[in-house]
Amino acid sequence: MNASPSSLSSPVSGTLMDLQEAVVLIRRGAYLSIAADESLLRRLPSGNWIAGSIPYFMAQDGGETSRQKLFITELPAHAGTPLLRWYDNSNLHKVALDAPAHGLTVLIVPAFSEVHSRFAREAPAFEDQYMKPLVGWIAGVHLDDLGQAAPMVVNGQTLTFSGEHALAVHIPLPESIYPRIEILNLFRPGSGDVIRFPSIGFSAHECFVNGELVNLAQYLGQKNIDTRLPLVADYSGAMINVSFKAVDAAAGQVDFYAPVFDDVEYRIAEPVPNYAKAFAQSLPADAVGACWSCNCILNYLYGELEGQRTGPMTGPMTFGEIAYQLLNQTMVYVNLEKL
Amino acid sequence: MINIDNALLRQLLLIERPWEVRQYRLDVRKRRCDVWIAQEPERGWFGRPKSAPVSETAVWQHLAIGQIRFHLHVNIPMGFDSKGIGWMGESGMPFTRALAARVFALFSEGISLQSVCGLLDLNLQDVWNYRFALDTGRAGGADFEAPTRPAVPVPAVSLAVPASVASAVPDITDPVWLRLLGGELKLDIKVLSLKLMLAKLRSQMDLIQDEEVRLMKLKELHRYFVKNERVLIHELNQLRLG
Repeated sequence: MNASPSSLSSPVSGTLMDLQEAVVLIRRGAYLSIAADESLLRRLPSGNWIAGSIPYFMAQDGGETSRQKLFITELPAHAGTPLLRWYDNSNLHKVALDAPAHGLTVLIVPAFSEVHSRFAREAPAFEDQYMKPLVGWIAGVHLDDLGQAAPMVVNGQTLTFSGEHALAVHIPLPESIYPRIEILNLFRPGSGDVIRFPSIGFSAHECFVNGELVNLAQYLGQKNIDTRLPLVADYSGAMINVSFKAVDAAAGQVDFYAPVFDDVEYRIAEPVPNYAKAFAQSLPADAVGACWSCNCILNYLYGELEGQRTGPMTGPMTFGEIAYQLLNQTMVYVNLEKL
Repeated sequence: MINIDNALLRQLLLIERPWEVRQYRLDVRKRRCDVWIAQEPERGWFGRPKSAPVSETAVWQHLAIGQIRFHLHVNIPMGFDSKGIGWMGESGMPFTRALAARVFALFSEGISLQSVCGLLDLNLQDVWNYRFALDTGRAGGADFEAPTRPAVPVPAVSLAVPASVASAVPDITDPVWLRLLGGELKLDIKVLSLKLMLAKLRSQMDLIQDEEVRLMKLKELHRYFVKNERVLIHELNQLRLG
């Protein structure tokens, strides 16, 4: 699973490298998951790779923003040929059904697309969505390019770029190996008000605070709430975040990076004083062997992770993380366990 | 004058008076027959038809006859209670009750959405809409004809233990499943997919009143445990203690 097999000290969840090194890896024929700025992805030769655009990384030497480097993770291909498949709104709900009976699916979705919206809202209801291991991330752009460039997803076998389709690689695995998906969320629900929403959506005007209908934007202003802290919900012990994107006090509207759901109780998260330290301290010992990982660009920005490490974990810092469903401000990693 | 085709169609579709087939359009190439159905007009003195009541038209896909799919366009008087009529469906649903009951019976046996489409020659989007309505409590499972077969979990695949080894997963009839879904039984869960799935199923159970649909959700959870038995040892140990 190591993208740089010659270096035993390299992190197993992937390595940040230059274009030449990436081309060498692609020409070896290995199955690769790649994250890089779109301009760099367009210079890659065809091969067995899937990619998404993003120039933010947690590299082997720490957090880094680069348009000149690519983050590459070698995917396991021990039990059959991985299959690359495009998804749009018409077939997205089949992503888990298409996955092999034993295996792992890595899905990359372009941010701001319809397929992103549908996955965010409906993935929990897709058939067999929790039956088969599925991870992935939301492709983005450099923040300086927001509104000018579109996030891209790339099929390296055909060198096809798309800003409207999601791309999955379905990887068969031997029955003796189980890909255990874990998340590391630094945030815990605070002791404050219980917030519920009347409907599912990426934005909200009204919400119920302790059962009372209020305007969310006004509530956040009145309570002076730090919107770098996400809303957190408890899913049977898994803490799932929804991050604030924008608060328009005049319009009374709040936008989110993932949809809020109408059947979940949320609370504003407790503050986290030091993200890098918290990540390193919270990682369980077995995370060191993780074969794939990604983390959130908001953790990178709000936690000021540039130049800092998050323990041994490396990966792209993305516009959204996927562990069966869309997540925000969360590290996702996969361990290949022997059964 | 009686149109023989219409009369035959009425009998084949088990439509009883005062309903009648007004017209139909058969497209053999597309293997599709559209049938327009309405109540016979009430007649007044001297056999003159009374003015038609205010009505609305609903369209449902019905059980196929042979290779031909039937789509019924039913003109329903306002306020008409269609409960129990198999060739009609619920408002906003894609299928008649008879067809919905057939789809539900397959879901209850753990048949996948894609396989249901293949077996019954149905549109995936329609089956998805029906499934979504079940999951959100907007549709019931056995409004027309209750499935008569006992609950049978889907055969274990994937991470399930080999058949020769005794399964640690409690039987589907064990009350522990209902206690787990209802939140009465709390588990220390280590597996992320189970945490997320259980949260989803519990919120669906809050909305679903129909017993058949609740049973289907219970089977879904059971199927998850059977499929992932080898990685759920910690959780299964707690389940056995009840």
